[in-house]
Amino acid sequence: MNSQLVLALSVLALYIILGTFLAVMSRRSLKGGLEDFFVAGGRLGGLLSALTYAATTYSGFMIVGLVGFAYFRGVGALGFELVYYVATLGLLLLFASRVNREAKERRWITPSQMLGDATRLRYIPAVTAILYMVALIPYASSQVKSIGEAFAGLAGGYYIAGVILGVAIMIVWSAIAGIWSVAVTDALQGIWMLASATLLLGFVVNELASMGIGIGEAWDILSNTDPGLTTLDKYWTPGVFLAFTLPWMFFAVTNPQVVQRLYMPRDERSIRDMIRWFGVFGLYYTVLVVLIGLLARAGAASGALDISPEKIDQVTPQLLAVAHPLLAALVFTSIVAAAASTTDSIILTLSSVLAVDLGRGDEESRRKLALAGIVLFGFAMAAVAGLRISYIVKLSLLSSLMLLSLAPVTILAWAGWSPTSKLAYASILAGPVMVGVETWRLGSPLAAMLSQPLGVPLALWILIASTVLAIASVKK
Amino acid sequence: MSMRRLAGLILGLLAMYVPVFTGTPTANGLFLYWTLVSLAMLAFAWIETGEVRTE
Repeated sequence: MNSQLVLALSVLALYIILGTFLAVMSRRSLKGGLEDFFVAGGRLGGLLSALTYAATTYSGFMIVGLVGFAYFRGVGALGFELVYYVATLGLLLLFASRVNREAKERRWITPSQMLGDATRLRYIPAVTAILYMVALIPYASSQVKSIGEAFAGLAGGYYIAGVILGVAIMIVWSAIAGIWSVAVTDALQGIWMLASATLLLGFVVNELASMGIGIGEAWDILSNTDPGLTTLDKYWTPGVFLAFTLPWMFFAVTNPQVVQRLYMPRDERSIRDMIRWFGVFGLYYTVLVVLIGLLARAGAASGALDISPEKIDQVTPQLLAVAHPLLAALVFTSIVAAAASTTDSIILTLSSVLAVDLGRGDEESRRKLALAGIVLFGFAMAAVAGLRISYIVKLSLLSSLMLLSLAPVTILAWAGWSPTSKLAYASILAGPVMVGVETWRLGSPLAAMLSQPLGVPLALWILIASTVLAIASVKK
Repeated sequence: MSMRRLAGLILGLLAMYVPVFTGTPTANGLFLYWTLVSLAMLAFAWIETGEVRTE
């Protein structure tokens, strides 16, 4: 075993020990009952609410995918991610207080319950519960796969070990105290992600500076290397930009693991702090990660950095290969942290949906079902990730597109309307049906995501169809 | 639903899409532009949540 691997595993072990300690300590806050286990009984403080929201939202995609995206596709990657950011901040400002208040009044645990109450349609909770599982299991599996790939990149041949370790962390941290242990470990993971990305940017800037290259010169290098890196003319046509941004714009409304987080803040002050500190975290982390990708490209083009990735996912691993071993170990652990914090939240949300929306019986039998669900979903994600097929990552791209059609009904309900006719079913199912047809027609999830029937991005078609149906489902 | 917050969201999003449909400013300008729009949205969120309100 080489020294680099030993150092990386030591830092990872430190992180796991620290996280497990925090998770066990968080049991003191657990009072019992499904409501407390899944949504903290609406008793979460502001800073913890912000950090769990941010760590759940920002997955391993940021430090691996977005860095690579910025490296190969340029500054448009910043716009793509910041559209999501602006939309999320605006949606939180508009609806977080109302959703939090109603969740406490009606004792919601899952987003499916909320949609069931809003539409007053009997099968909506079950339909949305199944939709969540179909959309999120590939997405979460791709996160687990990224942990396996990080292990394989570090030492080769350790892919399955990475998958098993990643899923074990997620199951244990979810099961110890439900949302309490997930929230405190999310906080640790969020801070770890910010700190390690800051250090990685410092490393890249330092390497450029050692060749006498400042930020301004780096921008000139980018423009000279490929003008498409600093403009939108080459890679980011309006159609492509819309195809990438529209599904993510409504992430805060459509993805159950983040909607559920609106039920958790203790009071108005906690909601305020959640919005503010999520805002600070999101903007800083996004700019940081995109800068790493752009400056790494300038570094590679100028010879300041000895990297030559050929694919998006290779940029961060190659940066780690030339970084100081301790920095590489910290960033490697942050990749595990980012993937774990997103995935354990999804596991917990799916098990809440299983126990509350699909399960039967009294609270005790539902509690047992929830715990079984945590293990079951963890195993399912490990099994899918263990296949190591690239198709999973492509399939996961479609998750937000499939969930996009939940946005109109949800927003109408949050705005005080009543989308209660049976057309609400059609509105909610418009997304998965249209995505399914396009994927079947084109034979590829990626092609479906980027498809533009009649010159209009698929995401826009889904939004138009589901919005028209949702409005038609409103009863006065 | 606060109309001021709704207007803030719509204006923020429109501002993000402006360069995509109208052509990009200078190379440095695009990075700075999107960062400043996002910063303005954060400032808006900070001000809007300045006083704890119920709706």
